[in-house]
Amino acid sequence: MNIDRRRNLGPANVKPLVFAESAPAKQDPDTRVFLETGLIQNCNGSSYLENDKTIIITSVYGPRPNFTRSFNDQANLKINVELSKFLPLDNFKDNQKNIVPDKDRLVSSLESFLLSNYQSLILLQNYPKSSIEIFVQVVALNPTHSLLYTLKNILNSVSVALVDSGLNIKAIACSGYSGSDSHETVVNFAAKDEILGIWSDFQDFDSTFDQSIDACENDSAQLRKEINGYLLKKATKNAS
Amino acid sequence: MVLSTAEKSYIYESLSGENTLRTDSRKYNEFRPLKAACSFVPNCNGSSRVYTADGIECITSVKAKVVKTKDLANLIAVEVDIEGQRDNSALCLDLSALLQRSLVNNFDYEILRLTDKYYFQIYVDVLILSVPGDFKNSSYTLYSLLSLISMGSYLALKSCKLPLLTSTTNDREIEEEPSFADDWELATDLIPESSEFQPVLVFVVGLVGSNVIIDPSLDEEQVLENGVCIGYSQGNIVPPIQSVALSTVDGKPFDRKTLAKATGLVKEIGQPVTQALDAILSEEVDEYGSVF
Amino acid sequence: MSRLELYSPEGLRVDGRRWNELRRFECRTNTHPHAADGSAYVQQGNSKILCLVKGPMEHGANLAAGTKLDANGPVLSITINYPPFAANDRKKRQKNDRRLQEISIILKRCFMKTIVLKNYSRTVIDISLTVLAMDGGLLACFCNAITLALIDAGISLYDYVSAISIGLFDQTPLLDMNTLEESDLSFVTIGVVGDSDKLNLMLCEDKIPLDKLERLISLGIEGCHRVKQLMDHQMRVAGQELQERQ
Repeated sequence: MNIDRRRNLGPANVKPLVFAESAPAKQDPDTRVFLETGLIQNCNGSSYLENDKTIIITSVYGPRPNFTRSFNDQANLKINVELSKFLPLDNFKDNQKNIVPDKDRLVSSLESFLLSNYQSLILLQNYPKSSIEIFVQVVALNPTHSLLYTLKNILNSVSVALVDSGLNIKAIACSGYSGSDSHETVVNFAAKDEILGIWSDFQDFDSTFDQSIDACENDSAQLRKEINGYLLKKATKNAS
Repeated sequence: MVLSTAEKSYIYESLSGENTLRTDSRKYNEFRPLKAACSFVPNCNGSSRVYTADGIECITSVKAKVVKTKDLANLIAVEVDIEGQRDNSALCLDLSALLQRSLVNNFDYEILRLTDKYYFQIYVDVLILSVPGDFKNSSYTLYSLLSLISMGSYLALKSCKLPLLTSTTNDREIEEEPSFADDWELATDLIPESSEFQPVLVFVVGLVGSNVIIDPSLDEEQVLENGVCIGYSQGNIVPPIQSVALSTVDGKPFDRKTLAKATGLVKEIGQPVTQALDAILSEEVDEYGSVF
Repeated sequence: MSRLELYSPEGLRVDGRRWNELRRFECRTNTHPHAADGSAYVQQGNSKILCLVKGPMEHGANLAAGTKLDANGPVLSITINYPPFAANDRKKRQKNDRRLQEISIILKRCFMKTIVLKNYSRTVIDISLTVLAMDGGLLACFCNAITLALIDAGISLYDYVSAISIGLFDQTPLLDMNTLEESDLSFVTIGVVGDSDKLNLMLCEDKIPLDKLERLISLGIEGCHRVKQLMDHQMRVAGQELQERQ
């Protein structure tokens, strides 16, 4: 007789265990943004950005004198990203593959990406012998937001804080996001067709890559209109 | 070398000009000469050494371990260590994160599978032996190491050998620990020759004016306006497509045409670079290596 | 005790050597001509070590801030790179691993006695060691690699320092231990100056009966002399090549 020692088959009358569907249906992210500048008093510029339960606070310090040994002919830009404790980082995954990322590495990648963006935006050569520091705090995070979507919010928050700080910048940057199930792209635009930085995990590279950049550009243009409107309103209010 | 303003402007003008004249008279799509060797560390499943003429050397090792897991994304661990830099320095963390992300996103997990429960865990350890002495007071960054590191990991993964599995795999549901042949002569390749899969290569492309250059040298980096790293695997562009800071001064935004040029460049040179690396792999290395 | 028979009654060790036999010793110099002033690669059995020497120079890149230059001799800075893949089982080590720091201090003391100090006052010599694969004899390999790299860098030494580890199995001394033997037996590492009987380096971290120590050391000195010959041979070959090139 053939005995099923390894229990390959199991008892004959079993029923598979089925759990109720627990994940909620995927919704389009709420793109409405609440923005306020100048809330923090002791820094040179700040912004508060809220988007669908994600809260990001950015403060800009500088230009301040920099006393290093060597002479630097342009400002030294430092960017510091802080992800608050207990943020739900599970969704900061790459492309459906759930990496729960190492937090240090994540922060460091964000910092270096921001640095590469704003290094070419701020006119650093106007501030010799000084340093400029930007602190980004992600205070709260919507658990459904992906890494790149949050990155877009961070970029916009930093751009607005820079305007508030009155530092010399080449343009007001504004980033756009486009995402689908298979890929996500964030592009930071200094102006139309002027890319400051791109971060994309585009799997099947073809003509749709261009489309996704188009989508980013549209997204950024729309946001830019809003941000410009807000900044103008604020400026005229201050003037009057 | 720290460049003077005049030198910078000279190099910038010639790079951004019509013909992309580079300081070492390379073409825009030409690499600096590289040397490489594989499988010279006896303790590792796969290893490689890639070094350039300017003394930067990258040693990569791949070690495999059998683990019981369901979480496939954790099967690849990457650690980059740079001589003279702390383990938690921004550069080390960044390069590790970038390489890990690019490998994890483009990996064929089938080749790591033993049974439904057991997988090979792969550790990729990268060691940069020496960095240029003037690194601290110059305006270039070392993100350009990324392309060297990715070539190192490509070679190490391709040369990685695993012991022959002797236990059965057909009853995959069974919780049976895999067992392996003792004879190392029977070892199989991690990536079998029949497999289409190639580990990802990451190229660093420098952007200057409306020109793109591959593999920027340290002198060139100081005048570059921007940079992107672009992944390549099996004839296609794969993630990451990400901008990196190659220089800390005089950055500028770039337009979409330049970005398209950069991806086009990577598509064009990906194949020859892969072929060159595969040629290195086919060279035999004797165990008592003449590697050094 | 381990399951392995470390020394068989017929007089064979786990890897088939006799008690007084060295492992295969290979070395190269000037392996990294562009990266450093002097470089060497040493292979003892399955242990592989790289050594890069930068200097003598006025400022050291890896020197801690505030270190004063010495008017009477060079400041030696020895950094040890022990990557996680070097040992048989992958294990991550901290940069400031205590054992490695201790080894670096021991090596520093040894080479401060070997370098002709008066030639290098107010300079820095940077030595960086990288372990590619480790199969026993860590300190000995380091010492041999540094000697070769210093010679390659053209730094004046009084003589070669060659080092070897010797273990004790019951009554028998065993020359040049590998990892398996090191983990089970007590051993001592010695470094010898040139062809003399002078010890420049000695490290013993285990218990060894005092009456056996002399036998261990005399076997070790013989082993060191042999290693010195092999290094000297390699240096002469390298010198010849250099001459032919000119």
